[in-house]
Amino acid sequence: MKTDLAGLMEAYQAHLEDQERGACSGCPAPEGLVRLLERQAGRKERKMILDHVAGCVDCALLLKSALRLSGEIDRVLGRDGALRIAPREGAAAGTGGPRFLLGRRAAFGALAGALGLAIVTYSVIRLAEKPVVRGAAGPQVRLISPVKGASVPAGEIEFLWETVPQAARYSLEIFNGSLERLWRSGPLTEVRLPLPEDARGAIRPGESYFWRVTAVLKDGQELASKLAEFSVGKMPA
Amino acid sequence: MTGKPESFDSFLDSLTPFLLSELRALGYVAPSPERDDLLQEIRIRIWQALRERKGEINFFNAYVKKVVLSVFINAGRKISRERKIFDPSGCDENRIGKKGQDRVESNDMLKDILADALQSLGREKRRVVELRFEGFSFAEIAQLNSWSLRKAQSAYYRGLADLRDSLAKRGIHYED
Repeated sequence: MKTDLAGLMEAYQAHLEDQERGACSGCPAPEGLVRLLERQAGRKERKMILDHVAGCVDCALLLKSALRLSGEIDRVLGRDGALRIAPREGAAAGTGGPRFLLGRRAAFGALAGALGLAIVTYSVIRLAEKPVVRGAAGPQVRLISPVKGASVPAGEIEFLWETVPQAARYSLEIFNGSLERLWRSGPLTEVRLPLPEDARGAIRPGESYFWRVTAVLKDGQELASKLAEFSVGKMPA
Repeated sequence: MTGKPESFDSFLDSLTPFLLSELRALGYVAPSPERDDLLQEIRIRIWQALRERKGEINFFNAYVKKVVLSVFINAGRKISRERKIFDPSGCDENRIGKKGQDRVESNDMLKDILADALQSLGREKRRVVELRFEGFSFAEIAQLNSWSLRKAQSAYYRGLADLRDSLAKRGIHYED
């Protein structure tokens, strides 16, 4: 039996889902997670929490979310500088209309976001219904670079793959670490593609991504490459 | 400490959309009143601390960050508890059902063998491989372990190599 990285990740997720259906107990206290995020947890505590998180879907989701929030707080604080304190009149008492106006704006934003997500999910499902041949005998799409976890600076990312003789066109997809698709190209005729401007917004320095190429042959058959992983190097300070 | 009155509130205003979006991603679907409670709790905790310390808090930015994270994690835990009460099977469609729709069904045998093979790895390698399989990026793994990015990548690839050997012994051939 053969498998690849995507198969292992799916199998592990399925394993965790099984575990979650059973009892998931011993989740670390919120204070422990805050200490971990703030790098204030001792070595023993850190290992204990991470051992738990590695096998607990709930804590992993919460921690990932809190990490993003922590980064956003740093970003906002970095932009605004040292905070000054003085309570807005009546703020602590829960009065004040503007709060609800902000809530409405956020709700509209969320609704638009959810609609966008639904459209993307629908497109992915539709796409998944197309017959894609992988690992079959005959022509294959081989990725040349970046592969095997290469670390590439964001400005120098260029995707390169081998020509498939009968290919009429290609398309390239970029996925995040959870294998959710972030970007898909239009039809390509070259076997080389520098990271386009519109995909750069989805790529963050220090993160890892997967990519693959699908070749559409002249008879309409599609051949997908394997997924290749690459990391985006941090920008020089 | 005191000065322009808008600073702390404008910080919260800037952060609120992101905070709520993250909570929503965790399954938070309650209407606005409770969301407002969350922001009020952050404010109240800060004001209480200021009152107790007579308006002087050292490293105020760091303190605010700690309070926001703490309130957020408490809310996340509450969402998780409520979900388990309403859906004891743990089959929340918002969270794990999606995988079933847009990913290929995992092979039960592979799942069991993988769980077994992971047990054979050293504790540190296993932890890094499992975190990576759960979708944490190398940067996040490095941050959580207080490691450099290079060390996180190295630990993962060494763990993956061991896992490949362990899987091979169990009849599963991993291909890059």
